[in-house]
Amino acid sequence: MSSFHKTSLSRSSINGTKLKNNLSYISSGIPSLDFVIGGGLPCSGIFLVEEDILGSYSRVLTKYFLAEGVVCKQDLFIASADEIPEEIVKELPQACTLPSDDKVSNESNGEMKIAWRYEGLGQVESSFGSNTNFGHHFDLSRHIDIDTINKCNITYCYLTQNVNKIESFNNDLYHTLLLKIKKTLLKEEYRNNSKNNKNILRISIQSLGSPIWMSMDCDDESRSTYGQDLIKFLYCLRILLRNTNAVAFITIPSHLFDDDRTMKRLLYSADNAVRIESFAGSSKETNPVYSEYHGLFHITKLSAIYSLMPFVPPSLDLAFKLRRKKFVIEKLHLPPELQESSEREQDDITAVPKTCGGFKKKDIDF
Amino acid sequence: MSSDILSSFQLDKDLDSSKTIVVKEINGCDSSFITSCVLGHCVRNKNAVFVLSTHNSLQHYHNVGLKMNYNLQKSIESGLTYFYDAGEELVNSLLENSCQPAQEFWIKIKELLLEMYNKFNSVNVIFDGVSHLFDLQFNMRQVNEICKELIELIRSFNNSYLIFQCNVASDDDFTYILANLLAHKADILAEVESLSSGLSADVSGHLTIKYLSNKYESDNMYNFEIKSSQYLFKLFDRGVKLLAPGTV
Repeated sequence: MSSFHKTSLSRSSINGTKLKNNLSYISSGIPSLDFVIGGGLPCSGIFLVEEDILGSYSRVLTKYFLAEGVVCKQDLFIASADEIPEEIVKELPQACTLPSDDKVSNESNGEMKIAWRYEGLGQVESSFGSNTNFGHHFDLSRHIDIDTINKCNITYCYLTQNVNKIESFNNDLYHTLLLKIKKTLLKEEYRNNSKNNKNILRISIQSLGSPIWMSMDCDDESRSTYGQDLIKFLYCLRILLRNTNAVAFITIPSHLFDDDRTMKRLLYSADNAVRIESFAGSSKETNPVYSEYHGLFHITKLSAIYSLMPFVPPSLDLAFKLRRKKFVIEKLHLPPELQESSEREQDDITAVPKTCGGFKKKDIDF
Repeated sequence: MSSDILSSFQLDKDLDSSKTIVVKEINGCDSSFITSCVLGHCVRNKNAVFVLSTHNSLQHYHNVGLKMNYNLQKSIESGLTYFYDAGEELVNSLLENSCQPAQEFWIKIKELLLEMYNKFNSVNVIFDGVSHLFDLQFNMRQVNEICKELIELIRSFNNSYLIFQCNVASDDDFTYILANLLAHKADILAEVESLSSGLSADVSGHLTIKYLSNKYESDNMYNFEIKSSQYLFKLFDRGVKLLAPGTV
């Protein structure tokens, strides 16, 4: 027997993970999101989502992230100071299979012939991650039943303010949350180098930096410490997650912050970050260019972990749309112009010119 | 693949005096590739190196090193490389609700450095993520004090180099002031900037190197501003390639 063993084999055995650069990756629950950020969420990393103004789409993203954990039998840690975490779990979407489009495209291939000059071109792939088997699709109209959820190992953390004065943080919520995460991470199964019984911990923190987190900063009259607690929290979390099988998925309402500086400092501590810009309530909602989409999807940070070369997505002009069974991120395209219009007068050769000396329809021979 | 970086930082030849290099990370760019290249050079040439890291983990540098054909872990075991995870230590003391004073932090670093210097007669230092000290609520005075002491100590060794990696979050931030303060004391200043147009598969970013110490040389006595070297760089799994602007 050979003495050579590939050590990475034992690592990839955790359910719902894949290995890249000697590091486990998990799915965010949205295959197209996994694709645009480089194959999923890296273990021991922080994934930041800058919320849309109403927060509705970022909530959907959190639900997908948690539902994927339930389906893969991974452990969850759900923290929030705005909503009761037990309530969030009740609305997790159920996994479903998407009807495949292959059959339709095969039939149509037989009937239609592609012009010779376009035959050599690669197929335009505007929707990402459609042909991957990593991650699941979920049906938002159906919820995971309560029995399945009860079988999962879920730690709930509903944060309420105490009167205790903490030396290291202005607002004790941050300290409480960090201690709870640290305590949870002490379990052997979440250590990166543990030999057996390994599992993934999905940490979800909803609306970190909402008024309940930031109000203490605003009380300070000098305002020099605005956002300092939040920045410190995120850095501490980065250090706590190191060498663990845990992934933090954090949504931040950055539009509520007083300055851009806070977010830029936060991005330094995060590994990957995206921003959702919803069309709801904005002028873009009625713009025909965006008629097919619900919002724009911006990638704000992509890190190269355990590697020098960061992932480069095929496009940075991304938009998303939410269907009942699918949250899909696509390359932003202008909609096809299907209606015939004669907006430009010079194109319409049948139109009678207003000036004299023009021609009429009967004058055209062909 | 790391020779381009080493030669542009003038680290490929023997040092006749100590050198301070400051790397400014602008526009969210990551400069850990410089650390990986320099670490590779030290490990291969068996030079003593002290990594003071608050940003990236040892696992990260080790895994990158394996791809670049050197084994950081082995070098640590041999004692030639010391990886001081300052972030973990500071965060642990913070969570225990006992903030570690800046002075105590510096004394510990100094002890470790002097011990290494006595053993190997030279020790190069890489400080990865100086700006994270602000995240841990060190103030400008404390951070500047630590950096000043560190620069003075390395200068007194007379045969080592010191690399600071400083992230600049925005122009109206402490991190920007710190980067400029460090640049003032640097022999070589490198500005690493990601492309303003976004990510590209062909080029990873801009690298501008300013040889600030050259202005005191007799050749440049009458030049007001020393010319800087500008490159584009592209990162690969096994290293980095510097390209002159316009040649991709």
